[in-house]
Amino acid sequence: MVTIKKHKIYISIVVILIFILCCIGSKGELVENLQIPVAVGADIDKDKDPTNIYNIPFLVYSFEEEGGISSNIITGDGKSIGDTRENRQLKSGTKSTIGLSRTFVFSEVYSRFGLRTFLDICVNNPQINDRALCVVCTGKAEDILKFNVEGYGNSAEFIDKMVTNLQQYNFYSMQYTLIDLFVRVDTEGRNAVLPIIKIKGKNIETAGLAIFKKDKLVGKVDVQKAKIINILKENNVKGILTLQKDSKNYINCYTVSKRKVKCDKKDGKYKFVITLDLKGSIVSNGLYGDLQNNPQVLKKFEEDMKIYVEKMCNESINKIKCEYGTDVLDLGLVAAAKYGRGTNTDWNKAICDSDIQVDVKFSVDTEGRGDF
Amino acid sequence: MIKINKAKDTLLTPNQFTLTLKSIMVGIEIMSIPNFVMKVSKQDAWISILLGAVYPIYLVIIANFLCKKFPKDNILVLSKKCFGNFLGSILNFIFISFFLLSLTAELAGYSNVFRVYAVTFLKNYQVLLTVLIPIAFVSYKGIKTLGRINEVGFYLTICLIIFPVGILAYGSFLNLMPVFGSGFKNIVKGSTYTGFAYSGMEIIFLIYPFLQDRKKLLKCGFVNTAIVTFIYVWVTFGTIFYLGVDSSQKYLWPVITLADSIKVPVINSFRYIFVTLFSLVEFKCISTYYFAVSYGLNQSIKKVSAKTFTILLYPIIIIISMLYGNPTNCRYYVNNLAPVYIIFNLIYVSIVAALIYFKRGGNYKKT
Repeated sequence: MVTIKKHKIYISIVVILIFILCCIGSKGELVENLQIPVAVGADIDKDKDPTNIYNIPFLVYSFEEEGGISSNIITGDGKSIGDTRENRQLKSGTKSTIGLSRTFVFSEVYSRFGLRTFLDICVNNPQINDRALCVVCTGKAEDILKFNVEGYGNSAEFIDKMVTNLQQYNFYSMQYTLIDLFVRVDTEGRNAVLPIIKIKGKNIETAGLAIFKKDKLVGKVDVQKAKIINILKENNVKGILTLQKDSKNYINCYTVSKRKVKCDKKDGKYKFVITLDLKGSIVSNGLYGDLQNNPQVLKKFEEDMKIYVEKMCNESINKIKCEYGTDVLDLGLVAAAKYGRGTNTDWNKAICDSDIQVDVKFSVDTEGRGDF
Repeated sequence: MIKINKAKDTLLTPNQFTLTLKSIMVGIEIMSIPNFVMKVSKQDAWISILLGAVYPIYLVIIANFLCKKFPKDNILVLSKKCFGNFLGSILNFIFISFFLLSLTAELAGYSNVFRVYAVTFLKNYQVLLTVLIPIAFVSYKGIKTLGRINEVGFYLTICLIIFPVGILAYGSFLNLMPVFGSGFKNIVKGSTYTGFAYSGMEIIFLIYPFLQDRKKLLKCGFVNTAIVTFIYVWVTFGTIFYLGVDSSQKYLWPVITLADSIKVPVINSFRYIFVTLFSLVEFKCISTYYFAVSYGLNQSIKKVSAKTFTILLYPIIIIISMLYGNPTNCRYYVNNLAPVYIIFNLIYVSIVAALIYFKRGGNYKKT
């Protein structure tokens, strides 16, 4: 005890010295010297294979001395994604920070090549924003990022808002973030889908859905087909269902869907029943007269809608389950949860051989203000 | 009068005692425990972890037995009584060196996590040197300060357990099914991988003389085991629920990913805050280990005080922690050394208890 008291002053000096020593050499960064990426593209150029195959454009905000913010594009290329960082620094006046980005844009060519390399560098990076949105674009990723959308500072802001709000209609879900992609790509019985965007005229718009098998893009569908895939694949999604006789007589219904899947196995063959529980609010009705007062008519409408959706789904499902060679609807997950994981079953094949039946329940929830 | 007060100053309330045990058990391994177990027992990893709690429960029961027989003597004294001075001392040193191993492994692991997620601009030695100073200070102040810090620290960091609730909005129960699907054998085998996570409970043999109310030892031990098991099961359950068995293997520390499920408008990523708050948990853990080592050494070599040992150990701990290196090597060493130590601890503790049980009190007065 005595010895410690005697040396207390020395110990204090050593402690202070350690803190001072450890503070030397580390310093913060001026905001003017940073570039904040808002969107990151991923592209490959097959012509330059293998020397400069990767082409990674960054859409960055740069802070200027006067306090203004400007956005510009810095593209790096290289034989691997890590090398593009080096190449990008050669063309940039500021220190490039990676992460923070809100949007990832994969070009179609790169998606077909496989997203694995890009996902790997993202998983590794602790700064990356896991809730960043991912989209596939037709054409070059750089062109999409360069594109000026009217009313927005840059295209990334627009894409971010557009994809976030996709969930309002067309039965798109909000499962397009980076972490959703991580979770889906290698999980047994799951497959990723991403929205496709393209430049049309003076605007960027969503053009459908990209279907992935593992990390590779295997198919593209247009918005109409995407709607059916969405309603069969996702739970709790919203969209408009329409029964139409002609251009003047139709009924629109804003529907919220609930999806349940049951799986059975008979003689090594799987049988799935997808139950869709749809609850609709009538948006516009020019087809059924006296819908408000007559329960019989309402019931007929519900029945008609049920038959319509069931027909629509059952017709496409046989095509969907085999066409892309992948289990688009995530049915493998349900089967694996019931019959065991890690059994080396190729779910893509098993689902193609299986029987899928769609059951629809439809009920009207609200009817709006009235009919005209 | 003064004497009574002094005794009160060195004793822990049951609550402090429980939370000191909790502090030493929950350390950096919580960040990666789901992955170790998941490799074997897949989606049933959380059941494996539930089973792993057998180890601390066994230690608590043995400690309770020893405490009843010799409430004033810790295991270091008892083992000298049982094995004689020479053999007893050697076994005691091995027992204490286990705490040193855990301490350095925790510190090295903490530095590895912290330098990736929070302070990428710092070097290994900078983190180790600075972090160990407050830790050493708490340990230097003795058991009462440690107990108080552990108690307050637990309430401060309780939010860390609650944060990952956000995952419930994203994950899927299908990831957890089929329950028992990986087979009973794998579940039991998986539970053996939880050894390092549940280790630390051994400190109960050193500090049970510090407990105010000795009758509550069993209760304290069980409550602590329940808290720790709950935390581990929740974290593992959450990881499987949110990431799934396959994707979780891609992360070195999958549990930190759970923090991302919270979306706070201004904050880009919640990871940084989570890891920073987690430092408090880790500091408590390392402090308690530090105390165990310096107090244990003091009990073996009475001439040198525990406080002096605290200061002497500082450079030694830094040097050993530096040797672990990157996460891969760190894990390799820990995964190979921990089982050996855990088996040693089990045998050591059981033999001491058995010898005391069979010999009954009288024989020890000779030594």
